[in-house]
Amino acid sequence: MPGRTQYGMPSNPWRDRYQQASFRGAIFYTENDARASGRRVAVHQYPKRDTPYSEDMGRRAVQHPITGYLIGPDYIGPRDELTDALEKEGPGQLIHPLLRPMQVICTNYTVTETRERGGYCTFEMMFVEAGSDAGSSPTQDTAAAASQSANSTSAFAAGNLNSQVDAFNGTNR
Amino acid sequence: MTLSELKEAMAIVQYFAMAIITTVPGAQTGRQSSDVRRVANDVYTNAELLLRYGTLIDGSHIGDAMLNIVTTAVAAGATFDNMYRVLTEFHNQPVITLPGQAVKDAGIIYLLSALVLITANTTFVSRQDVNSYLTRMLNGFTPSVEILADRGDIENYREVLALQAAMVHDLTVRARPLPTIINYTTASPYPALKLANWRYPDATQSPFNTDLRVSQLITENNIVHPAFCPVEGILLTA
Repeated sequence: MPGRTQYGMPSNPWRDRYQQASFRGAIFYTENDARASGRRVAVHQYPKRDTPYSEDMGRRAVQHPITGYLIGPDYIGPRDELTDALEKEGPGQLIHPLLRPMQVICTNYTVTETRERGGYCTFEMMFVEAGSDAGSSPTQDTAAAASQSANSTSAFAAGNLNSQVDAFNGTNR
Repeated sequence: MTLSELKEAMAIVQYFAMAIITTVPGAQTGRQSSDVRRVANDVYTNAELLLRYGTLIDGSHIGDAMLNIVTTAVAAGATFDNMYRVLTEFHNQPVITLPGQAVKDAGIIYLLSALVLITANTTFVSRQDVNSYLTRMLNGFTPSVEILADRGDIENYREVLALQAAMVHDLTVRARPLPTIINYTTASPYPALKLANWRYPDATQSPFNTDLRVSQLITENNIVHPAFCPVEGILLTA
């Protein structure tokens, strides 16, 4: 049994979550949108063997094909803002009407305006998740760190022993 | 330092010097091995002078001279197994006097450092391989850390603990991407090439080194003839 709004209407949770779509702060309205992903699989097939081996190579990057539009007598300004945002370098925040905000990059877009529909333009946009630059992130050379620690520890112990032997002999260095 | 203290410390230093020579495989031949023998024999001969006067005419001190033997042995290719054996034996050397104890403590720290240096330069093949080293290293570290803590030797305790942490971190990080060893069973003796193609997507190379997968299988299982592998054996998971 769905809940009721303060006006007695059946509540729509999805409508409560609905928000104005935007990319890098440039707003647009959406006609339709989708999410596409999956797993990357390398299928190995061997001679004289019936069973293949599908090797899981990790999750596929999430893609969001979105058809958006802008409308109204002053649509030119928001259209230019959106095209600038789509062409800007680096990842930006995409506010999807029903999903959580995400960091994406626009791989391509097409803006269409027709004579019959004045004051109206449509955007076909393809976004791909930005992710992180894990492949080239610096990692510590732990073996070198261990070697360095070994050298400093033994040098410290050597100095310590020298001092102790001097102390036992009653001499000061 | 009294005469009895000197005698005991001297015995420890001389034992240490002679033991380190045995860590280098084929210690009787080769240029680097002769370097180890030379520095070890120098310390053996001059142990009394080093301990009595703290320094020799050439300016070397007892701590640096002992460390020099270990450093030279590691450079000459001292093995982990031999160094670990010396550490275990050195732990069991009885000492009564303070100078003897100081020399023994320093020797143990040198040996632990040498073990860490050897593992840092070792290329591991499997996770089991790393775990075996790690277990033995911890067995070597634990009594040393306890002794230093019991004696209140704060500075050496802190240094050894930091060294242990660096070693554990290094081995843990390097073990993570390595494959594990598993057992295989086949219905009849297969050729090594067929086994390699059966198990691995690419039998021509390993992702961790330049060995052929076939060569790995032959080496790991001590296969006499590559056309007839035993029906039960071991192989790497990746």
